[in-house]
Amino acid sequence: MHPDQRLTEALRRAGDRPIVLSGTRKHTSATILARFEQIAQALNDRSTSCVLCVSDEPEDILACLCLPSERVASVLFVPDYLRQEIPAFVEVVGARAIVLPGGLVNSTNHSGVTRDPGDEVLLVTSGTTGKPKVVRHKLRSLFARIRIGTPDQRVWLLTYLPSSFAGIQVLLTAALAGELAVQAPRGYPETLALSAEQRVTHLSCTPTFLRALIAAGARDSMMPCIRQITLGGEIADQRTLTTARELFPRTRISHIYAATETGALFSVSDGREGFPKSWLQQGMEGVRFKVLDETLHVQSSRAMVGYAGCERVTDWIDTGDLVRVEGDRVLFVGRRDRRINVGGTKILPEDVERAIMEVPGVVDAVVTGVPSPLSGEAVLAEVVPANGMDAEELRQRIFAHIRSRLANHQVPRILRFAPGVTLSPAGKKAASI
Amino acid sequence: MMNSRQELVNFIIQRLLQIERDKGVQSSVFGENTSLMNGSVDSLDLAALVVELQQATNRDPFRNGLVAFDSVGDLAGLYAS
Repeated sequence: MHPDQRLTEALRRAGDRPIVLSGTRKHTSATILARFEQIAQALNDRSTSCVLCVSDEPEDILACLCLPSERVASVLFVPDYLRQEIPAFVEVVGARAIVLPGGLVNSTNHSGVTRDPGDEVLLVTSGTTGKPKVVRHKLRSLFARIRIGTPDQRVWLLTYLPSSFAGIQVLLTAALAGELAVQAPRGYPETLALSAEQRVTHLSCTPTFLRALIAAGARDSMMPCIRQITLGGEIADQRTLTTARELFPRTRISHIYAATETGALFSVSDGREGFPKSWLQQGMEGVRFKVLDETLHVQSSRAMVGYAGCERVTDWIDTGDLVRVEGDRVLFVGRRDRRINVGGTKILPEDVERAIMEVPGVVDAVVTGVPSPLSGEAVLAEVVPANGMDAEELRQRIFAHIRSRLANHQVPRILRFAPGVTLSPAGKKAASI
Repeated sequence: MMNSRQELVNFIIQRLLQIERDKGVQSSVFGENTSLMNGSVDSLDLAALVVELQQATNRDPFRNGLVAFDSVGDLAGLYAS
């Protein structure tokens, strides 16, 4: 069997087993394969080697993931919130067909040449810091870090957008093993209740999501079946890792380094933030690392082929993640594109967020720069208090603490309380204003 | 949306008092003629204050470059309609 056909083979083997629970809808292997056949049939009369899948429905995602190996048609996954970019995406990849929710297939009026080789999965970057880019992956590189064959049946909680790199990893993992992925509902209490009801064993989410879940009451007793928590997409700071360890003492807790461009690279399970410094020299899991201008660069066979519409084949990838070596560890300190310019001095919002979150009674914090005519940017902090906290008292405690921890120009001059952190479509923290 | 000069003076004074509370310093007495260029309020506090005034009034008096101001009243005047 060709390795890229593992998904369809696994779905055929699984028969009528439920693979995805999305709201009240349960999708089985059989219904996903039927959806795939429906799409493939609709594509038959279209000369195409690349289609757009503009759907956030897990069933459509899995059905379209069968296309590269079964129909030699590459697929570009476009999340619904980027729907207005469809014409641009059609042009970039030369798509002749669009798969819509429910497996409906529409033609495009594109008549140009498709350059895609027809065996790729294309994903879009979140576009939070500019126009979203189309990233090309070989199907097999998406499979590369997926491990199946565990003796016990696993139940996955899908907290990511299904069409994102992380969402696809969770869906593929469940489908390849014939296991169930449960899509998280809106609302953290509802997510907790569903996790208990469906006996979720594996939670894969951002640290921001986990902190909000913990604030809603998540702990060992609320998620009695949980065996693995995997944090990704953002910096997994020591405080979050330690809190998770205390609340889930019997659960394996790891943080994974994965991004749309780099693919899934490595995971760390020793309970400490960052990764061992020795990896900079030795590499890890086929990944080579180097630090240039305080920024992590990586090289991996699991990384993207390149960007669509760009001939250049990437070698080393600039991750944009700022790192610092501290003792035997490489620590992630922030994102280069999130830096705030305060009067000509660059500050890292992550430093400020960490300091605020050290204050008891703070669930989470988002720090951003707001344009100011007098200082370039002013530092704004949005703070999520724990239930029942007196706002003014907490405010004084926060300022008393951070003034002892931060330089004057790092201290937020605007601090507002918010009921919760606004999450970006990728599940990462985002400022609400 | 705030428009009148007096509303803006009150808004600025409330923010200045909050800045002092945030810094844990003793509250000052602020009035329309109080200078913003000394005391416990620093340049970054002022930079944030104009951001909040801009958000509250939807006006940007600095759009065409820096404008001189010294007192609470001067600043309120820049944002008053």
